[in-house]
Amino acid sequence: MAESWLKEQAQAQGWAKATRLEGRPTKQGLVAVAVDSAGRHGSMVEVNCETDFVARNKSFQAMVEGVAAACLKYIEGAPTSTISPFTKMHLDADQLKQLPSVGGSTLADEVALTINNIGENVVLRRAVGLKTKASESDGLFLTGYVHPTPSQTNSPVAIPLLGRYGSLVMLKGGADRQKEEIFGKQLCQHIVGMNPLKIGSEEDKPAKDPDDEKVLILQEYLLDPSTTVGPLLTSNSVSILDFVRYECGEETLQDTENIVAEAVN
Amino acid sequence: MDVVSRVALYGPWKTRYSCFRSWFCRSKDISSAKNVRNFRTSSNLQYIFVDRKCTIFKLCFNVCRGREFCTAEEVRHCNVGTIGHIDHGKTTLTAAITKVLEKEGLAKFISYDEIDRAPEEKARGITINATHVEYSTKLRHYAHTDCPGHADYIKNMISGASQMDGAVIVVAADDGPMPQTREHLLLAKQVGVEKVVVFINKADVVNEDVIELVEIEMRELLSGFGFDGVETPVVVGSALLALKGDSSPLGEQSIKSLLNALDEHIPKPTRDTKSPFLLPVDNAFTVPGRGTVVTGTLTRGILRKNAEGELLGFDEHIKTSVADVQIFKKSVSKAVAGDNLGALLRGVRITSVQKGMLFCESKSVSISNHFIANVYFLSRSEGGRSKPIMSRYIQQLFSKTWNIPCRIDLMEGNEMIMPGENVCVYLTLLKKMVMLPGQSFTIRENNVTVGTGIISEVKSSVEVMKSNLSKVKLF
Repeated sequence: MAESWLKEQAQAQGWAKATRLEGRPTKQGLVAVAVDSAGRHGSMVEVNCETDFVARNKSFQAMVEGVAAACLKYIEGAPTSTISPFTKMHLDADQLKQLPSVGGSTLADEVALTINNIGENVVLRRAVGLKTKASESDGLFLTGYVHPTPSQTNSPVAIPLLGRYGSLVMLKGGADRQKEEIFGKQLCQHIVGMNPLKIGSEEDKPAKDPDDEKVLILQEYLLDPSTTVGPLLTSNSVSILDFVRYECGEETLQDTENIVAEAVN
Repeated sequence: MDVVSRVALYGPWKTRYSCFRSWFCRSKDISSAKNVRNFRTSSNLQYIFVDRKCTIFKLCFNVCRGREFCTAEEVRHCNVGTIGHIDHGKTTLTAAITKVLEKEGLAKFISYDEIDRAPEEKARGITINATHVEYSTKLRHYAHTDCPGHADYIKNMISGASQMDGAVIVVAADDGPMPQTREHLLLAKQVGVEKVVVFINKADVVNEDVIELVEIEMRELLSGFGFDGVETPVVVGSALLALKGDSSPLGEQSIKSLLNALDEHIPKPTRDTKSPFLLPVDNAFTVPGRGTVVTGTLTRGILRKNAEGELLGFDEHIKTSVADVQIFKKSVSKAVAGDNLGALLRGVRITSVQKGMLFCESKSVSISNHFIANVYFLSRSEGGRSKPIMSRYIQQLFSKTWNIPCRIDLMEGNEMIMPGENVCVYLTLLKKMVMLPGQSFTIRENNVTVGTGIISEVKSSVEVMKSNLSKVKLF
């Protein structure tokens, strides 16, 4: 009894503090990536806080891991698209707040508790989920990557990875899954490092300065600058269907639209 | 304030700054005034920057027997930073310090808004997100830094914008230490701060039992991070009361005891005269009939006539001894740390001496081409790279008066470095040089600075075959 009363008290305090701190700027934070061990479902979330001291704190990190796990659970239960070979879902801050947490409450409750604990504004900013169809015969798989690389590199894939940059890539491979997964990780690293804006097709012309190239298949490959990504995909008999890249604190298209909308009003 | 040296300058007030500058260059024997910048603040303090080191003088203007003159006294200087949770009153405390000291004419009051509003400052091309506030106690001059985040502090330290000598940990009495206070203390350790002072703020809103609890918690935390939890001064007060002009023990008096704690607890930088001597060679020339003379400023130790020593750098290792020591063109029997001197070396040819070499006591330092360093890579917006840095990155490294090709390799677990990040890396130089822990350097690519760093550890040399850095096997 006493324990549940204490929990309720903490929750109420958390909400009070969260309301008070709402609206304070949050530029720091973490990006978390979670992919299930079969590579069929994956999620990536960004949670912001005010200072990077908090981002380095264990209790905040645990909360972000919880958010990524909750998103992964949500995407696993979400309906699958019947037209496209895979499903992609973007979640904004309001949708994220409503998601049930692993502990049974909502993510908004979890955030309020964290705010009460660390005394800084914390914001669930955005999330994305990718899922493939239930059957595994299509050769589709997901890989994820975060930077800076977490210290425990040998952890099972299902545990979320935390960092300042993250990427999720949907690939279609052939036979050798193990080799392709390693290649997939390297592609994710390339995407984090080189920041391509789109995959591109054969019609795309290379940019004048190779340093400014924003089309993925025309970019110099990060781990071997003597080749570009396109031929490398062919030689590995892998095709890339979709990718998402998050950088903690970056301005999104949505933000810019909001600013423009405000300016117009 | 402690006075290091004093000078009286005569002449019209208009020309006194140029007088002062030329006196300074003469007294420190700085031949080229190129790197010397001086400017004055409203509180009659004259700052002189030579390379990146700052010397501060206090100016007094007088009229004596109808002649105008000005005296300048070099003052002791100390850098402190405030660390603490965002809501615990760091900025209010900084404002309160300037307010209290303004009454004694030792600072200019800077309001809360002014401190908060100036978060960005450009220093040497790297954006330093820090607010600098200055004030003096009776003992010395302080530069007070407030950085918003961990990465900013580290950047500050690596780029040498301000080296923290001590830190004030601010904690609010009503909240107590926060989970991230651990990260704050960890940071202080990381940037090399040895002494801290704790300020328990907002003491007016809680009762004494709570304050005691907070103090005990803080002392335990400090001991846990290797600070002296017993001896560290803990000052209890309220910055807000002090700012309002309240003269109670929690108000202005608490600020005064905090400043006293800073004066007493944070160590004075001392010139190291006990260690083996070290002389970075600024220049070398031949005196006809006598031999080769190297000049430079003795960074540590005492250099005596007839001392045995070694000339190190650029793969060279020359044993020699000192035939004569001269300061200001006068022969002396010894020179101490801080002196600018010329040393006549026995049996050394001018062709084997290069600018950037180091003259030191035999076997006191080692020469190597392999180091561990902490490097900050500039972000794209600061003029750095847009692409990440991978292992086997080879560019020119600049340090002190020399430069040399250098290869950078990432530590295990780091797959790449994004611009704007700081990280520990391995450095491998084309030739063996002396680089001591704490020595700073920059990495330049196509004449653009892409990184700046400091040495943290000297490793044993690795073999460079045929001057090819890319083929060196490190592991």
